[in-house]
Amino acid sequence: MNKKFFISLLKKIIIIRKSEEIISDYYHENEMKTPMHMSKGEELVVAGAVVTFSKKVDFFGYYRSHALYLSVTEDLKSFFGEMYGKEIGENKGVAGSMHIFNPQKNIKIVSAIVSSTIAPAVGNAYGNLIIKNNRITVSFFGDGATEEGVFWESLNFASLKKIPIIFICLNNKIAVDVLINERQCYKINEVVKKFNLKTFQIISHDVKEVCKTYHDAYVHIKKYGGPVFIEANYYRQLQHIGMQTDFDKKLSSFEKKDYRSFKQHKFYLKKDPYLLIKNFVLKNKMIKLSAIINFENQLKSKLFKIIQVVKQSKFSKFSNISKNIYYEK
Amino acid sequence: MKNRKITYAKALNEALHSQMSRDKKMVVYGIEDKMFGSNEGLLKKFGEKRFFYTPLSEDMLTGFSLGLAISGVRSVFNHIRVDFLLLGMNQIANMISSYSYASNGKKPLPLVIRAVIGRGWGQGYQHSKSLQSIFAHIPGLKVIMPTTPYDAKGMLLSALEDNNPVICLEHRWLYWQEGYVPKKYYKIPFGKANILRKGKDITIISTSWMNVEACQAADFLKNYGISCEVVDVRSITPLDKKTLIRSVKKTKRCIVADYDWLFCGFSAEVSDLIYANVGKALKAPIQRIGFAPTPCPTSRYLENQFYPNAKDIINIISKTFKRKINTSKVDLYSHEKVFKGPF
Repeated sequence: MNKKFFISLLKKIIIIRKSEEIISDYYHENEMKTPMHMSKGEELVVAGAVVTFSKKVDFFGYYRSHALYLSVTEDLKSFFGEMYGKEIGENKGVAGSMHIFNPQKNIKIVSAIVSSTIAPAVGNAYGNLIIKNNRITVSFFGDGATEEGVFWESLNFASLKKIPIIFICLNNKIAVDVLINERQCYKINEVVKKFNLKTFQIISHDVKEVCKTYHDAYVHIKKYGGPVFIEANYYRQLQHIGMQTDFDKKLSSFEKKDYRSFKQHKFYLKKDPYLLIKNFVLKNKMIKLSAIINFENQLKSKLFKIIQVVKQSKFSKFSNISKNIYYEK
Repeated sequence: MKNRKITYAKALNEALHSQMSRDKKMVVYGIEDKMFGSNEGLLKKFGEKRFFYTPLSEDMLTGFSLGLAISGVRSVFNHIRVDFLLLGMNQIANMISSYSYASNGKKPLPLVIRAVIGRGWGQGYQHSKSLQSIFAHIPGLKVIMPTTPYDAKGMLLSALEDNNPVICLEHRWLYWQEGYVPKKYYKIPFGKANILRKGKDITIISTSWMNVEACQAADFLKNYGISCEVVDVRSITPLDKKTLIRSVKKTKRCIVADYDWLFCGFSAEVSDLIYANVGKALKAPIQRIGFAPTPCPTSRYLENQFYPNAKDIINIISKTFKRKINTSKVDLYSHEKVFKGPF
């Protein structure tokens, strides 16, 4: 992990953050008609994995897919095209915020049904063993997914067959509006250990520690084979869906949530991944502040232009996309 | 070599051996090793990396087949009872079926799910379903129901080279049925119905085991001067609409004998298709025949009333032609008389 590594991570986190800010700026126009599941807060634990594993792994995501998509592809036009549901979108408008993916760009599949990409990730990892391509598979999911039976079925099978997969549980301790202690009688990491596999725990407070753990997990699989499990803790800064925090002044009574405290919220904002990575690279003199500002300004004007292009662009023809029900080549 | 007769199970077995030799990456898995003999010898020949037993995790293992396909590895996932496949329904209905559409048809998704359906030996309401209507209802899946040994081999070989998810539903009693099967490699394309009996007076459109019953009815009614055409649908999706319509346009009468429940079922789909395309040329209303509208009972006495058979078809046809044909003393073939379990 050198300077190049962290600058790459910085850029990815800035791209995710600024893209989501643009979503916030334009969402009220009601042209992006897709339920936005924002990544704000998870940028480090997601982009950190993408930079650490680079092109050596296959990624399987979940429904909070902005951070994964943008950090893997950095393809802003396809991203916003998809948010606006247009033909130039990554999935030509059939996917939206929760389903944006492209197997050819190494995001193999994502899903809005909690836990549903875990088993496919195990299958892909087993397939890689058959093909003997030495690739490792990374499966992202949230803490809520561990309440689904298929998670435990997958864990059992992966461990039983020594399948090379890195399970990354992005634990924000909340599923929609319900806190983890109201849902789980277990400590995830402790139970997972019983499945006879190597586990790691990280918290999104330390840039270096997060990336080092990911690196160690990768090395562990390369050396010993089999699955590893990483519990990556982070704070979801916004509500389950949409652009609001729990404490915005404009919230209607329907939108007001009282599951988390303001004190806690303020604490985690100090650990905001966007601030953490900026402070980290500046403190380690990897880049000058002016260069960051310059990059951000250029990005913002690029994003502005992309939004104008996407808005002007056309929707897919229904008859064209309907042909894709089957693979016909 | 027209006299080369083997069982349905052996025909499937030949297809699997043939394709696993050709496709060095293909894997086969499930909790059932034999599948009535159709998986015989695969473990020995291809090793435990490509043929393996699994935990009872149907949900996970269905998603697993999707992941294998994403990695480029084709798989066959075996289910000794289709009822257990419902545990994997999330993966089938939410993930597998929409993968091609969501990714804009970019990548093939080669996977086959084989499931045993239908009547056995006191199987009851959780071990005997068919479910073709449920799978066929979902866009993005291919659903096949081979009836003859010839079709079993040819259609499974097609499934194993298809680049889309295929659900192959195999009736439990069919595994022992014998028929002509060439030794060579051949494929039967999907979306082509098969005319099992040629006739001119009435068309019986059937699926899976109902073809056996329909053929018996047709052979019996021949003695009474009624000529029945039996059309084996064999491919539910894609559906060979042309052959079905052409047959009824010729006979002007139609019975749909689906091996499933009637309500919201495949038989209703076919009836609609026939009515929309033959309509006023029909000389009699389209009739449907299928399971009684209840869960399947276990007791043999009750089971006999749940499942329709050749006599039911004969009775409907004799009414259609206003003929009095007494079937009460007729003894027709029933596999239940041969079948002694345990499954």
